[in-house]
Amino acid sequence: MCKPSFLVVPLLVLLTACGGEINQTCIVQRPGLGGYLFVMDRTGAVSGGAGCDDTVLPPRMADNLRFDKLGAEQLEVVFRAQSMLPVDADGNPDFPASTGDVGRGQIGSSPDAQGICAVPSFTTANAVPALSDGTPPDPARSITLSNTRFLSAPAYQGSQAESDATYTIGACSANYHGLLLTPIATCATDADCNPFADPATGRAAGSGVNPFYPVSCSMEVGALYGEDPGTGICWFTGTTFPQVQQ
Amino acid sequence: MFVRLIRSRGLGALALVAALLPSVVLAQGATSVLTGNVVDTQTHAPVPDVVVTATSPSLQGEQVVVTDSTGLYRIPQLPPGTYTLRFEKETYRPYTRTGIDVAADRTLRLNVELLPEAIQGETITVTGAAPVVDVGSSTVGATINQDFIRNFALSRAGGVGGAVRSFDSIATAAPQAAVDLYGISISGSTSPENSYLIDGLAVNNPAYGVLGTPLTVEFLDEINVITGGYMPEYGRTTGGAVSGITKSGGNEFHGSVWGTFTPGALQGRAKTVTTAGAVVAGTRDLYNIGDFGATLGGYIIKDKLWFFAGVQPSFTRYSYKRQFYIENPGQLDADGNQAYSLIPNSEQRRFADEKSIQFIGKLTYLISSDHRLSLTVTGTPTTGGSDSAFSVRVPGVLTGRAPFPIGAYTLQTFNSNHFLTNDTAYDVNGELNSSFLDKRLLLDVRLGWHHQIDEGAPGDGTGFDNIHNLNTLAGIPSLAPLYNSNVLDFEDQVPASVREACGTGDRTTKCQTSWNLYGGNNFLERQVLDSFQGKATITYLLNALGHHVIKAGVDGSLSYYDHLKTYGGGAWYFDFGPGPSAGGTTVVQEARRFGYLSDIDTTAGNGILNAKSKSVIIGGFVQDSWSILDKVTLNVGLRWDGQYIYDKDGLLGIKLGNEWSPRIGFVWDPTQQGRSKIFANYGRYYEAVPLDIADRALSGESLLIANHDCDPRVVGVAGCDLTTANRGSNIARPNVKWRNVAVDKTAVDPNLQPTSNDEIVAGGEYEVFPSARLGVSYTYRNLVRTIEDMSADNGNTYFVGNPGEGIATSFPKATRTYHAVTLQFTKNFSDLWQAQVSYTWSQLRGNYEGLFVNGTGQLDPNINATFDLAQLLVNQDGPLSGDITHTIKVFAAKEFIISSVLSLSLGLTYTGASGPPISYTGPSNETGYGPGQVYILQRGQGGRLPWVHSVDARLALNYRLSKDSVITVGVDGFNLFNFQNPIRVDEEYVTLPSLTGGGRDPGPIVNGTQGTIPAPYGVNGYLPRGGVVAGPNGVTLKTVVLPDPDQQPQTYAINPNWGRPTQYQAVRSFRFTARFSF
Repeated sequence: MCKPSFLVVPLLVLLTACGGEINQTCIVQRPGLGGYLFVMDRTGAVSGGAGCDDTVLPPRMADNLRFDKLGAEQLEVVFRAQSMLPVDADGNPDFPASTGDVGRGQIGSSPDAQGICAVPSFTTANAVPALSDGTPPDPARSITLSNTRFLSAPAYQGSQAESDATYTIGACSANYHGLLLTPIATCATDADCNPFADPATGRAAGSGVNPFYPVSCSMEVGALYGEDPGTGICWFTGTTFPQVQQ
Repeated sequence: MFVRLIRSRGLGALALVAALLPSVVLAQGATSVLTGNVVDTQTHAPVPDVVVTATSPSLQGEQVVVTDSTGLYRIPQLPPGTYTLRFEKETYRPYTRTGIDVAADRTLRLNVELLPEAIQGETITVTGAAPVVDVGSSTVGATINQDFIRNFALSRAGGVGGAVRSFDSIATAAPQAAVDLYGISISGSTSPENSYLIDGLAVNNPAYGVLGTPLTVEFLDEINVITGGYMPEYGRTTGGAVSGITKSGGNEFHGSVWGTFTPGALQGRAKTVTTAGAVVAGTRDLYNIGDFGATLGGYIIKDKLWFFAGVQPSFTRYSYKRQFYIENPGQLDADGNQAYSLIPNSEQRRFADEKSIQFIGKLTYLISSDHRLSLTVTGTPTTGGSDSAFSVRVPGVLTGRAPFPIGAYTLQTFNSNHFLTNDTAYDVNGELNSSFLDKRLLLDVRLGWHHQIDEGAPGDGTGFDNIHNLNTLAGIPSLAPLYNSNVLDFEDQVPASVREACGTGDRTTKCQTSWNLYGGNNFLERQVLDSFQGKATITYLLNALGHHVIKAGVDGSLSYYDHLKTYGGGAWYFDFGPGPSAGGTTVVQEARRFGYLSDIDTTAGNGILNAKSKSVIIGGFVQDSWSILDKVTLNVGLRWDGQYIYDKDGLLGIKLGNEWSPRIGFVWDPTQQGRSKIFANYGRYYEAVPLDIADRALSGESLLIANHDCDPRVVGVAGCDLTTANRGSNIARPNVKWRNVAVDKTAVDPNLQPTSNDEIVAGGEYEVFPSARLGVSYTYRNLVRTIEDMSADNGNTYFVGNPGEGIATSFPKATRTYHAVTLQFTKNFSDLWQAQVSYTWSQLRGNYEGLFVNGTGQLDPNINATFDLAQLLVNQDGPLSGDITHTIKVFAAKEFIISSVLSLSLGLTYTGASGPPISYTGPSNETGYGPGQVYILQRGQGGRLPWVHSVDARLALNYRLSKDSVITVGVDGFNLFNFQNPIRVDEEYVTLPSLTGGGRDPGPIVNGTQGTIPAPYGVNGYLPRGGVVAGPNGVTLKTVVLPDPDQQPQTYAINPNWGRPTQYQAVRSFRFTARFSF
């Protein structure tokens, strides 16, 4: 006679194997967190001839990039860079008069085995006139991102990326590579980079930086981003991508 | 995850005949066992080959088995009922035992001694002394049979059971079962964690876990409530199991016709819920509630094919009343609060209506004596609302069991709550019961389909197609004002007296109130839910070092959730005012609008979101119930379940394939006569995750947000879009006008582990006298882990994980620990009386309530707001809302004989429960989570609500027309003494931003307890009660110093309503019943 257990055990083994791996979505953090801080190092000399030197495009600099996704399938990634913002006649940042300063690229729907979602290339984002008075950018500026890779595994949710970039100011141009991190958390000490609130010590909200990232309070990055002296930014302790604590 | 919708559920036999006639059942729920040993009276040697015959009105024909070489007999697959056993063998005098009450899923032992034929005499017949202790399992709970249903006032009108008197409402009679917001809480869990079964078919709402088919108790023969200690054949619940078994037809035609009516006019006087500082106050009263119906059971082919059919229409009507008040400037009332005067002739009334027609059809086919087939179809179509009346339920909380609160009429406009609802379930259930090898091998196969529709549509009959037509109710957006203003700014459907009193003179200082919603309908939805289920179980009886009952089975379900949802007018707006009376321009922000951006600042979508998600559950088990020398039963088994949840695109989003459930227990009968047991059981139990998580989290809920200068009620969504303006400073965003949020599918921990409980039950039972048993049991439950959504970046992005584990290691672990000791006395109905008395002491501690949040009512299983932000978990450890220390339930009934055809039944019930804990909470507006999210002190520091008592009674007159026909008229009285103790109070200690420091939220006083609050917070170590004080500029609210989120001292106004009742226990009511059974 067929014992029941002989029927059940193989069936359970079969059922255990079904289902496959779970689907994950490519996540790019939207502007709600204030954008990514892009800290980059120049990978070559500044091109463009006379006057194109470190004072125009320094060997290390920082920018704020705000990404969003568009479309029914959410496969188009767009960004605006703070450095490309137009200014009005008074020199204050203003709304762009057109969307020409938006870079556009395509992203996959799911991360790869390493949890990476790549945008191979973006269209060039050209600074455009200001909405209020049509003041054209002077000199002309543009940024082109490429090889942008977001760390989009569930634990990280796209909050870290690396990218190549080409910045052009007037006739000067240079290539860069760097890491991106969101949110941009200012700090005075390393304790301020704790991702979570600690009401017992009076910290109402945490830095929001992913708890698996090795970060510390970097005054150097704070200075790059134009923070006041004594104000740093929570930034990676290393330089390779991805920056994840083991 | 955010709350989707913020809104602020002999002749003794006379009556016995009435109960039994329609309850001739077969097959369905045939899971009980009669077993025992037969020995020779003189030699005490086992007697093999004794023919044991079981007969019962619940059983067509007979069940016949023969004792084995050890004298053991075992009659399996018995439906619940009252049985007679006859023992026959040549050379022995026949022996008959009658009056054996068998409940569902029970194993009763009946040992027999046969007299040799040599001893002269006739058949020995023993009546009414059969054992009542279930010696086969360590299951804890209660069985509610027809005797119990007939004798007691159950399922109070307006309570959980509603007009239909649903079967789960009866379950409150069981110890360790209590009413919660969405049904019946069992052993410290929340009601959506339960498994609800009808004839073994799971009838949970596949999306939310709550009861999906509220089938009337009229169609059921018995309700079995399992509160703990179950075997591996049961799984997928971290709560309990509430199981109904439907009636069946028999070889005689029987049926009943009944009607019940609860008039609102006889209701006791209700205490009015008053809110300090309110311009509008109201009450909700039951107007009438009732049902009527008929059942008929009989045969189509005698001894072969039987049927049972029934229908039960029911109706519910509530009366909502509100009155308007106007401020008396500078005057205080007796409580020290702002004084108001009633505006004469300002009373308004609206009805809330619901109608239902439930039905059942059942066929039972006896293929042969070893093979039975049955097919059952039930339906519970229910509609609510009309062109002038509210519906009893509203979208967003369609799964709620209580009518929507009076606040929906005192703080929201009629139009914003004017819905037509449809809540309907259909179930089809087929079952095959077969036996082979002289009943040593059993096969039970079940296939079923649960289909459910929950819909909330605009009250004018328009629908999703009209959401952009301003001339329809569907097309008018609703607004949530975030400011105080004249009541006339919000509600235009007010009496003329209010228009005159509040609308003349300087409106900006009169009739000032905040209003939750105004404009049109808020949330509209249509849910279509399906669950296809199958189960096959093999049982094999084996003799090896004792008697084994080995079971193995596989089961599974495939569930779908098709969800269509939108907001009235296509969007729901926050209204920043300042309102027309102040001469301001309306400034609004879209709070919720389904859609996405197709290009830069280019909106797409029609405001309607449709997602169809899916869940696959498969499982299997092996178990052995090993009776060792008939002294000890060892129950050992293992269950495995796997659940796979797919998002709207059909992609696997959650994989829970690691659910191994070991179960081990023993039952020892010291008397070895089936009259006692000592038992203990350990088991692990896993949750079946409802599909709401797939609909809202795995599929994304793409929302568009923008600010506008417009009045959406006038220009509609499209008109507001024309005035869209970015008011932020983040001009570097790619989309400067619009924000698209919650669009991404929520990330899931790839190593996500299922929610599970560990449970230990232990106890003992003893048959103190015939048909009566006394028992004590201890239950321990501990949450191993749970699944929740969380955010590590202050609410910008969420992920699904296990708090405290995996990618959520930074979050506190979810905890919930339950201890309970229950003392229970049960006397089955015999000798014209019946009783069930229980006392339970329990303790429920932790930071996780379960699948809904009691404070806010949010029902988003596994994605509630509780664990969203780590900072909001501070102080959350403590006594949970279900922590009821003492519960007493007393049921006692007696039947009095008046004449040969007349009897009187009296059933008395007392239930008493100590109060749940009260907390001090405050808003977390800075995180966007809103009211009641911050625990200022540790959970439960506000004391406890008082005890709640209720005395109920049932009085019925039974008149026998003939042998098989009885007329019964009766009255059920609920809360006879009209006790009016509060069952909920306002726990929001602070509702407004700080008066200092720039309007901050309150923060937690970490580990704060009353009496030890450090300076400068509180007053002398305590948080004081609120109220108002008179000052040079009029009255102001009392204040207290509390920390803000940065732990900086700030001054806050104390909510004067904190600790005040927001809901009282149900008032006295009477239900009149009439029934003719034949």
